[in-house]
Amino acid sequence: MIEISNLTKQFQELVAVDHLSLTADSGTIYGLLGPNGAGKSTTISCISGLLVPTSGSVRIQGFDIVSDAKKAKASLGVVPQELALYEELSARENISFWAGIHGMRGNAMRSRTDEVLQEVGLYDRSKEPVKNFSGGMKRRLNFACGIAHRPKVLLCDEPTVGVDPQSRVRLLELVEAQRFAGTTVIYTTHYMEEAEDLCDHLGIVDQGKIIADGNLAELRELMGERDLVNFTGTFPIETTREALALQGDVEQLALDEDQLQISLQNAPARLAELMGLLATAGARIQETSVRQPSLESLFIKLTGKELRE
Amino acid sequence: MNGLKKDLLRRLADPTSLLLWLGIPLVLGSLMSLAFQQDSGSGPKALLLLADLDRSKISEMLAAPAGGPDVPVEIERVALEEGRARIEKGEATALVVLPKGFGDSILLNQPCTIEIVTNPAQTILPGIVIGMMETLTEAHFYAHRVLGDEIQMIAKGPEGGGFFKSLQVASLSIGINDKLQSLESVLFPPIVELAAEKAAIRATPRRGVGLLLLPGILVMSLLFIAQGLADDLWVEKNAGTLRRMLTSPVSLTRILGQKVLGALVLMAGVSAIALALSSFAFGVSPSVLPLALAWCALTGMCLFTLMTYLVTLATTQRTSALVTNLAVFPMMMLGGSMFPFTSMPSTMASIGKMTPNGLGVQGLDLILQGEIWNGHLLTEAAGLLLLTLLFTAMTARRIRNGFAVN
Repeated sequence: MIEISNLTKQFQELVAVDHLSLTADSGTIYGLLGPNGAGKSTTISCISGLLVPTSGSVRIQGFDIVSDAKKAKASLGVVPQELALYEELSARENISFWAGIHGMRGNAMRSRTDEVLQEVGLYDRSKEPVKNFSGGMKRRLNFACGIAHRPKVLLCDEPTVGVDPQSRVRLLELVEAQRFAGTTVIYTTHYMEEAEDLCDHLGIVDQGKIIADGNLAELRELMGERDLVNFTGTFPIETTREALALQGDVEQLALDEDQLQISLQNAPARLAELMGLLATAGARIQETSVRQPSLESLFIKLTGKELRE
Repeated sequence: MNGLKKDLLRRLADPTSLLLWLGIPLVLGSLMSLAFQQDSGSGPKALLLLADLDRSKISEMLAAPAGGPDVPVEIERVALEEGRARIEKGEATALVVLPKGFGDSILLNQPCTIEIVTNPAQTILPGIVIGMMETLTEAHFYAHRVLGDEIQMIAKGPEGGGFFKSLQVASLSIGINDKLQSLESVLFPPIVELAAEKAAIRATPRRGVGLLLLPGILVMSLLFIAQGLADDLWVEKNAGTLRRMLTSPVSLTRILGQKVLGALVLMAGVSAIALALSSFAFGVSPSVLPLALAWCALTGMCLFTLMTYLVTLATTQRTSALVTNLAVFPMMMLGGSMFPFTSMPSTMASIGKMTPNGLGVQGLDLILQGEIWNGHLLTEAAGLLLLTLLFTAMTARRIRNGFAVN
């Protein structure tokens, strides 16, 4: 279990994490969703004890990460965004090292190393130096090193960045397996689909703050079953705004000279009417897309920007 | 010991680097050995070819081979043609031709021309030969000044041949004795009096240049190896393994301690090979080798912690190489690796002796001389240990203050 209360991390003038609070229970996956620079990695660094919080607290299995660091870290496993591996060593040597640094020894370590190698599908190549591995294999090994000591809390910081679809699926299965093993998983990502598929609970992070949180259903409810419509083309700002204002239930999310985003209910049925209205206002529409309520549309609604920006 | 094992496995997985590190002292040592391979001898000798056309007793005395390692000229009797041919080929320093009648001219104090042909390819040795001939000429001049009559009398022999009469022998002896007595005030006792005093300190045995430079060269090699090993901190930082280690329950002090131990083992391995070869090449006593090895490991460990601290001051891996280079080269110059302390100005030497490598060089020098119970050795060992702890603490502070994360 992990409890974060009013966590703040400030670097001189920059507030990277701003009074962030969350609680994640055993056997659940908590997703921290946000664009690059939102403060996800700084949060992970504070949780893992790499950075000392400016204020607030982080408790892992009841132990404070600052005042009781050794006990807190004993329950912690980290799968960092970068491939934190020793390329000269074999997969087995890497896993054994990370298990050993968490106190595993002898037969227990050897059998656990075998087990983890099997889990991540690298058993057959366990003696090869890591430098010979493909990117996907390295990602899986990176994950294996994080779970080798059977942590009670696992921090996964964008573990699927830059991997092929096949390896991504395998990695997501591995994360799910941790949930079933009773591990508390904190999972940061900016891939919406991953968060939707994997997480039991989600926190949407922007500028160091959690701006919305809940399970998927709760978050979708925030969208109010509204579709997201995106127009690209040329839009006279004033006349477009006036035309949209006449449509009472249309919510304008973003408007500039070449793009318009709105949310409304039952958009597919009302698309023709909307396009006519915009044409009357002087807009020239080149492309239109309609999205069902999703985390991504919620994110845009909450922050006014795309998740991958 | 998990971290130590990991670091050693990583080093073993990269045998090229290991060989290169091992190569540093070997290459430096071999170069030194080649440069000073005549160290045990007495230096270069002039080869003087002597063509004796006179073949008198006097010319034979001159041509008698001078022995001993301290004599700078080796004389070889040759025929005139052979001598000329060999000097043409540059096989000797000089050819001296003693003409017919050389012996008579010496005894009768008559003019005589000695031909000296020198080798133009040599610069210093021909000068020695010419100097030697000039000394002989002067000796001949003074001998005739003092004992000219007697020498001429001996040279001419008794009138009518046969033997000198007893009266003539007595007169010759008295004449020589009188002249020596007249010179007594100058020669006996000598004007310059030599007061011989036994030095209080124990005379140090004469050491070859190779052995003199060995401590500096070995410590210089350790300095380079320390620099290479310290770069690993940046490798771990860039890979993210350093950050990952810091999220484990193992303390930073222990992580650094294991890195230091890993460096110590490697330094000891390289030093063991270098010392064994030095023992063979420079005659280092095998009894001092274990202590010398321990000393090298201690020095290497201290240098590693210094280099590790320096790399944490840099903002990038590339800059870290620059930072360590800025330290390594002045340290080599001041710390007795490039120039022995004895050849430095005293202020510079005093500063150099306080540097980590300076402490290492001094201690190793004492050990190689067999001075293992010297009090200075303990002081230097304590200095190295203190510096190791200080640099490790400073490195830990740098890592905690953002080196691992930024």
